[in-house]
Amino acid sequence: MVPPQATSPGDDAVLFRGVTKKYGAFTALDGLDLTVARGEVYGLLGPNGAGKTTAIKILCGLERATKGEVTVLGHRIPDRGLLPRLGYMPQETALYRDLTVRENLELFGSLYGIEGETFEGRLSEMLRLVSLSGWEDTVVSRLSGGMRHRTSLVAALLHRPELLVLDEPTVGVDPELRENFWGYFRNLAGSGVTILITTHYMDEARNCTRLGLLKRGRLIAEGAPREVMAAAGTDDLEKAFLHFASRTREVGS
Amino acid sequence: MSSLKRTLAVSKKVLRTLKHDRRSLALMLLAPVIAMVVFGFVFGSETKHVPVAVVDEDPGPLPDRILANLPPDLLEVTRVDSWLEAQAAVRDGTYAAAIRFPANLSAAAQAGETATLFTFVDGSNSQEAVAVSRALAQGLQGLAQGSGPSRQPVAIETSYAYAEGARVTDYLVPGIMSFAALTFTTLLTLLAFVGERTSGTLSRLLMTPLREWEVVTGYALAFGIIGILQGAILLGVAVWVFDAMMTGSLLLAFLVVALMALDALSLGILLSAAARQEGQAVQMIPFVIFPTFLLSGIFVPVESLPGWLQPLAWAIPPTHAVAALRDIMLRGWGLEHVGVNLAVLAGFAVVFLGLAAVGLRRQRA
Repeated sequence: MVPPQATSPGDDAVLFRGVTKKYGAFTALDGLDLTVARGEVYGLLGPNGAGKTTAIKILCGLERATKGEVTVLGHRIPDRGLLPRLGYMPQETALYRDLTVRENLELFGSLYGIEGETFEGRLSEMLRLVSLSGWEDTVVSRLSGGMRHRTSLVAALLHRPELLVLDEPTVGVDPELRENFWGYFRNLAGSGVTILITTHYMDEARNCTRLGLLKRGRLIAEGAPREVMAAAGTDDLEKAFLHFASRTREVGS
Repeated sequence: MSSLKRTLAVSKKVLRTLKHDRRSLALMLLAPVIAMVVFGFVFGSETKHVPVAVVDEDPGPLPDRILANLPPDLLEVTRVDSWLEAQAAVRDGTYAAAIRFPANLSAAAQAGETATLFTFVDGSNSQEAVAVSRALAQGLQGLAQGSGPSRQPVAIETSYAYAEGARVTDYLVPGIMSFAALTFTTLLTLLAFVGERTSGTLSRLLMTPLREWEVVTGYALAFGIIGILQGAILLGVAVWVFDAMMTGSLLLAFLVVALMALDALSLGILLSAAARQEGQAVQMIPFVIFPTFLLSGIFVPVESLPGWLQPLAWAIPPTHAVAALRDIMLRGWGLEHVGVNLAVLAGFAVVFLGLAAVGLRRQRA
């Protein structure tokens, strides 16, 4: 059942209401309710198969929900008009392996209408940020996994989206650079950009303003990292996660 | 653990995989059967039912005796009143040839003089032209046996509507050119697009403001350019390497090849929607190659195919490309004749590209 739309959804960056997604007999999302406020860094946590990527795909319009409704930046999706305001970095680095870093980024830039001087300016700024200056003309297949991830991140940021969706952005990124990433994410959030991020790393989850713990397509716990740990009676996020995960197993079975 | 057990374990795994992949299974079982059946029908059927106009001006019995001696089924004889009318009908492609029995044929043969019958042949279809002279030779042979062994009483004088002196090569080049343009372009586009899907770049692209039809059109443009280059090279090879007959407009021939390439690339994108991996794409290739090879009139004239196969032949683009190219290169025909073929080729491109875009949208939903 879809709950009545009591509050104005315009203030929230992302709003899931009773969203169910089925692939045949498999239920990936099971009546998910989720709210992400504007300017938040929201971390979506959960084991493999919990529904993180499905939620993100629905959010970005790549998949359609079987039931329920999703509102993004005040618009019910699907809404093509939202696409220029979203930035998406997929789990697998979806870049053209035979093209150079610059050629890849030029493609994504031009799809958002960012060309010429604007493009050049943003390109050098972003490449500096992800420590890829000087690699513009290297073919992507020659880059390391981490460098491809960083290129992919730049592709998601070039058009300065209002909502940035990052599906495990720091896999294969070394700790020092990961720290840089988070510094940049915090800066973005400070300037009003909403970030929805999925991650496996609990030490990273600490950096989020709010966390949602997903299991079997449902939200089993939500709150600031401190709140989540307090509710579980522990000062370790990993333990807190396991605590909630095991509790639902008892309830669920 | 014995070698046999390990081997059986592998077999079991393979069979289990196929159980999950019904499409591969169906392809493995059906594709060879379909290919074999079609092959059998096409090469089992010789050139036959060649349309021929007959103008009989001779009041004597000889023409009927010759016609009765013709091998059955090889020619499809239609009687036409005047030689001029028959020649015009050959020129517009209604008949492959016209045969004229002049008024004095029977009388001359009776008198022991050499009687001459006339044929007017469209040389642009070398197989049909050969069939006509073979049929007539057989018809006259029976006659010779009847009236004495030593002398052939009737001579044949042949003139050509088109493509006098056309060699088999001239006849085959337009077909092989269409075949090459279709198969390779389809294959390349198919693999490129499957790569887009498997690498995740396609869904990444569709996350941007890019629209499905824009993806398809973008591909069509890029491969269209390649197709135009390919067409130019193919025609160049045809004319300068094979020394192929080029009676008509080179530009028009080029347009046909370019349209063929456009059809091929849109077919490639369309087929890629049904393939999730490169391997599955490769399985589809025979389904493009075999019908093209067998049905499009490259080797076997469409008129010689079994009746139920002919509509199928005209339902695939290469048949129109082959027909148009032969008309242009061998008959020297212009846009007024091949316009229909060009329109059909363009129509296929529009339909295929439209379906390909719809296919992408479905994937997104």
